[in-house]
Amino acid sequence: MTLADLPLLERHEMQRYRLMRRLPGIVAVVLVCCVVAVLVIAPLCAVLYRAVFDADAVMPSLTSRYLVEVLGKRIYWDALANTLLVSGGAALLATLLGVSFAWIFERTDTWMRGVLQWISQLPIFIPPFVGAVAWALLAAPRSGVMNHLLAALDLPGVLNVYSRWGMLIVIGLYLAPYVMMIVAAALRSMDPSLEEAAQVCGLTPSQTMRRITIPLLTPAVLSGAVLSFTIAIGLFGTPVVLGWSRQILMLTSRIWIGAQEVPPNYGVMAVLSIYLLALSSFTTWLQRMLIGRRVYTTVSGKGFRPRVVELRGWRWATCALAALYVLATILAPIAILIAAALSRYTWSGSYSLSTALGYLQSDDVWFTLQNSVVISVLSASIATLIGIVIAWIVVRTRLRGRGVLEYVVLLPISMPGIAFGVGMLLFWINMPLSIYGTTLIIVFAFVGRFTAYAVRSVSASLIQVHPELEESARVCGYGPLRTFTRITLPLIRASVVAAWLLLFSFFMTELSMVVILYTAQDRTFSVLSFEAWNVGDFSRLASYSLLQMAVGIVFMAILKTCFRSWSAPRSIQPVTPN
Amino acid sequence: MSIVVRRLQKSYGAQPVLKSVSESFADGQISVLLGASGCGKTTTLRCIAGLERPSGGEIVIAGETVYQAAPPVWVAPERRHVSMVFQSYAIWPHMTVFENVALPLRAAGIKGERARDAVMETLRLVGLDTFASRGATQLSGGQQQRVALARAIVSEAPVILMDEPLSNLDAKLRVEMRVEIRALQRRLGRTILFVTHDQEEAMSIADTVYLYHAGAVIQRGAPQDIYDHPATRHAAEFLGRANIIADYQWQMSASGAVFTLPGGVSLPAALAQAPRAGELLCIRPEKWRVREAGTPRSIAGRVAETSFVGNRTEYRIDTPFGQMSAVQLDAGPRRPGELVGIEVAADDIRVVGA
Repeated sequence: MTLADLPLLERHEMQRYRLMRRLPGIVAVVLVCCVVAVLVIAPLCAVLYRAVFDADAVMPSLTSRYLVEVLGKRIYWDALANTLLVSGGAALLATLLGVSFAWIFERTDTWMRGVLQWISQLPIFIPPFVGAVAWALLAAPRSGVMNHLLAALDLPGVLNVYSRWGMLIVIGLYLAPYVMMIVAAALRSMDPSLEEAAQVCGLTPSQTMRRITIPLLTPAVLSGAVLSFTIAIGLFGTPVVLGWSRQILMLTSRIWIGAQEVPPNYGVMAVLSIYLLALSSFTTWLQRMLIGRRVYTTVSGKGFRPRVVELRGWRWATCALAALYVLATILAPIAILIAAALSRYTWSGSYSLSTALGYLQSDDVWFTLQNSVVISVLSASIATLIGIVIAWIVVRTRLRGRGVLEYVVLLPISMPGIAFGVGMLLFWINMPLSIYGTTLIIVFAFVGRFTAYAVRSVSASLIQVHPELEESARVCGYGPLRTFTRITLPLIRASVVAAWLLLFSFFMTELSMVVILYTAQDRTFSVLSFEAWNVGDFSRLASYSLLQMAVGIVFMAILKTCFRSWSAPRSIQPVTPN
Repeated sequence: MSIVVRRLQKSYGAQPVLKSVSESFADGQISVLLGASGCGKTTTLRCIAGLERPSGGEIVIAGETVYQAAPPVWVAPERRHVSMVFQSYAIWPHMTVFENVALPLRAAGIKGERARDAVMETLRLVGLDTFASRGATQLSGGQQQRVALARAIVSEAPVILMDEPLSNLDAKLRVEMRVEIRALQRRLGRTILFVTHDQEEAMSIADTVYLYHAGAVIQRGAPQDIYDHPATRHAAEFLGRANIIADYQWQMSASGAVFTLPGGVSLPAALAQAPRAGELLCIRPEKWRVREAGTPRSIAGRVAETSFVGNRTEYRIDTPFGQMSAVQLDAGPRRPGELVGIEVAADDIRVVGA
């Protein structure tokens, strides 16, 4: 029966019926756009607005007051200089270490390189704040364990982590894995025949390295460097822990100080946030300019077996270097945290398990821990869900404006968290609908800032799923919904689980946004740790940090084992020769 | 079940891909849509499957209008009761062979013993019954292709659409599968629409070939008919090879036409009607016979190139009216530079449109 055969009235009915069937799709798209507008665009606009509008006056009016205040005071110039120096230096160090390790692990016969490569990625999962606390315990000028050790061995010199150099090195050490992972991936996917061709053409190995390998790697190295710089300028925990005692303050620390003032200095916070946004945008832009059109598509999806450089005697040296890195970023920090947690008060010399357990028995700990888990689970689930919808819209539909949607939702990825948190705060603080002061604002901030990760993870795997896999299900008689749940979702679920886990681990330790948004009623566990640091109780702080990491690990382990059965890596693409 | 498309149009933005195609594809036959890439053949198939929404026209499958521009009709792909074999096979990697083939039945609400029997029966038909519990990704290319085929026939959908189903197989397997698909179709009597860009594949498998060019069907017919009587130069050159002669004069005579070619060569042809302005002469390479130089009534030529390809010898021969390709099954290779005489029968000369 065709539509033309129907009486006019029934035809109307059918068209209305068809619209009704499409309605869920339309509603979903509109909903997602609204969510993105409120969670991503609104905070950014709030920052810009608050920087140049005097919102406290009866009639909000344009003002240059905050700009003048920031530009006119030396402390803010110092903060900017510190941020640039420390972050630039840290990015440089991270790039140097990251590229070296990528090369060592991917292209040499270094002893135990497989295990070391795996372990060297772990520092990413140590919260920056916790790493900083551990390093404060290790190398504080007088009380640091390493300085005690130096004195005991009668060696001259004092290590001082409470300095620009100290901050630079600690941040750089913990950012190195990001660069390493990017560069290692580039090395892995580089077709070895490119290098072989150069050698056949008469280039020596060192010329090949200089003229072929390094230029091919430049885009990866640059994006690693830019990534570590943008992370560094947005760090809050590390600079504040290491810089506070000597008042070496960065922009993020200044924003936090602005929030502590009574009443909070929102205008200055907004201007400083714009500094951070401008810095991260500028570096991203610079990266694009430098790489330009030099996007080398060496990635062909094939697995290559690159030639391995035989280091002979040096393979022990490179192994030792990697081991030293693991010691500095993981083993020593965890050991010192355990020692600190067990000692009655910092370095009293008497250790007992009961002290550590005693710290963990307060109601505060369990309340904030519970709060953190609830917030993290909720935010990770919402962000993943929105991520799936957006990834699907971007990859699978021809909807107009989907490019804009993707751009907007990916925008916060390079944005310093604290600036985003300030935007969230400024947007909601004067809203009639009050979510400020509730857990919800933290959830909103997490989702707004981090949905980008879910979108990237899911769309990367959705692209891998050949559209014909879905089309054939449609032709076989599955409707759009069943096709999605029975075909698409099972094929991308590994990436969905991965995205959720990544977000969860971010959220459990997030400090730089929470420190701006929390109130007494909705503290998270990372805020509790931060407060312990604030009162200088390092033993308590150490036990909190260990608990935080333990909870993260346990949670991940449980989920991984639960999901392993059905997220086992399978070839997503059907075996097609071309 | 026959498929009819009327004034079917599809454009991406301003770019027209299908320019008003009106065809009917016969019931119980293999219709092959043949053409170079980008000619609109796959788009036609995807419009019929409901995977693309046409920009205009009408599609009727087995008497039911599944798409119509105005008043609007749209039947979703899952309710068109067609099945399809994709170029990538589209075997779901998270399911076993059995689950892959069972899915169309499950979608139709057929379960239990009945579904199981149907799936196993179909797998037996394509020779994969021992692979039922295998993961779909553990199969070779040829086996995946059979799974795709099994999935297309299991639901007993009367129409099977095949989008370049053999292009990912190696040459030997491709020839085998052609024969198998042909045999399967004879046995099951389904209507098959088969898209390919391979003219040899098209001719060997088709009941009717629909030759596409630039978004339109330029000729349709049995493979032999199209090969013997190409309508245009493009049809002649896409289906097989052709010598095209544009520069000629003609005179009608009692037995047909006599063409006068450059160099004073005269060529009698058995033609019913006079060629129209702009039409071209077309001679298939295998229609030329290569003889000794000076053979009576032959055209003098000189061998420019010879290639021996096993079962035949291919020549390029310089003549006063241009270089001709000729293919000979007999006679040992003549060397380049050798003078020859070539001739063609009067009823092997065709006149084609430009």
